[in-house]
Amino acid sequence: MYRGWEVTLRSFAEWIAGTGLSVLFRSTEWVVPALQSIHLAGVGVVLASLLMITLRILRQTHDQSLVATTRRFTPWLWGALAVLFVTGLGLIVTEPERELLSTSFWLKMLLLVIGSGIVLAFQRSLYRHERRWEEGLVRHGRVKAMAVGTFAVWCGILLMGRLIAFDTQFWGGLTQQVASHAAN
Amino acid sequence: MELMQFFQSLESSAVADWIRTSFYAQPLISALHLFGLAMIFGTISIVDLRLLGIPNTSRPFTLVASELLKWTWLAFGLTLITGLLMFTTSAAAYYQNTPFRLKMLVLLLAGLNMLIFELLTVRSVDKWNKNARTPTAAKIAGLLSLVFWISIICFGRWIGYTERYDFGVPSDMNLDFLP
Repeated sequence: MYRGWEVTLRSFAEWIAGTGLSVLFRSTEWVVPALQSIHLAGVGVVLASLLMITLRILRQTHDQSLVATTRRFTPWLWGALAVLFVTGLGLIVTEPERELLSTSFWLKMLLLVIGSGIVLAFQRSLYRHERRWEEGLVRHGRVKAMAVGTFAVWCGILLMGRLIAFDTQFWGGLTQQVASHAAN
Repeated sequence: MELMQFFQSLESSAVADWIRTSFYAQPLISALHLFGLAMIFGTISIVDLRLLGIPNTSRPFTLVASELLKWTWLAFGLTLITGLLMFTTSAAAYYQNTPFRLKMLVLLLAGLNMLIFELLTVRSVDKWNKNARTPTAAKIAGLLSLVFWISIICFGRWIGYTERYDFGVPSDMNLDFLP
């Protein structure tokens, strides 16, 4: 049943699982819950930062310009993303098979690329065409829809992150060990 | 004893049964609970940091608070509802679970901290609303709120790693089913 890339991924995951760091993390009980807790707090900072920018675009807040609001929250957004990257990497090192062999994980990565791409493109365009954004674009219905859509993409990232634990149940999953358990 | 009977009736309720048997209920309820908790922490931390003067005090505190706390409460409602739903599926086990108890205790402390702040500390807000050092009491409230909510996240995560509770998953399976 295995396709080629699954074999590659599986052997890659097994290689990670065999490294000293992975063994050390797994033998230390509190590592995974601690990493997940920091990860979740980071998700909170990312979502709240995005919420504030989204609310400004939707004109729910208006005491500061869009540029000022974006400058205020994007450092938190990218800073928190860096924390998420490090803790996420730690989780992959600790439980490589659980992460790398789950459909949810790869959907999460896909959404992450899309979500980050939109935010980056938005930032670039905003700083280059400040006046166009402040005077016109921010009032466009399409821009507002885009802002809400972007927030939804990031909620999707959280959802996929949670679904990693339910991967087999949801997608049929790639992890055989779990599949055999689920059948019991 | 009566409490345990109540928990048992919760566990055998139609709602609990639906969550246990439904294909989507557990993952989605759990994801919504996480989403709510993340939003609570994210939004309240902006208010807490403003109390601590981070990054500065140039935006009026009352504006920051009114802008954000409505979202915090909305997220709290979502987290409470989804949390109660999760509780019904294994009420007795949750009740006896140490991290769960600690989480509820800290939640109570976070509520008290907020109550004291809203009833007493915020009264003098006109004096420090903008471009002024926040009083020590307000700083302590902000710092405590941050500590409490981070603790709530940690204790919540920890519940998933205690043996007693698991949504009926085989005990040898290395999966956590609780946020």
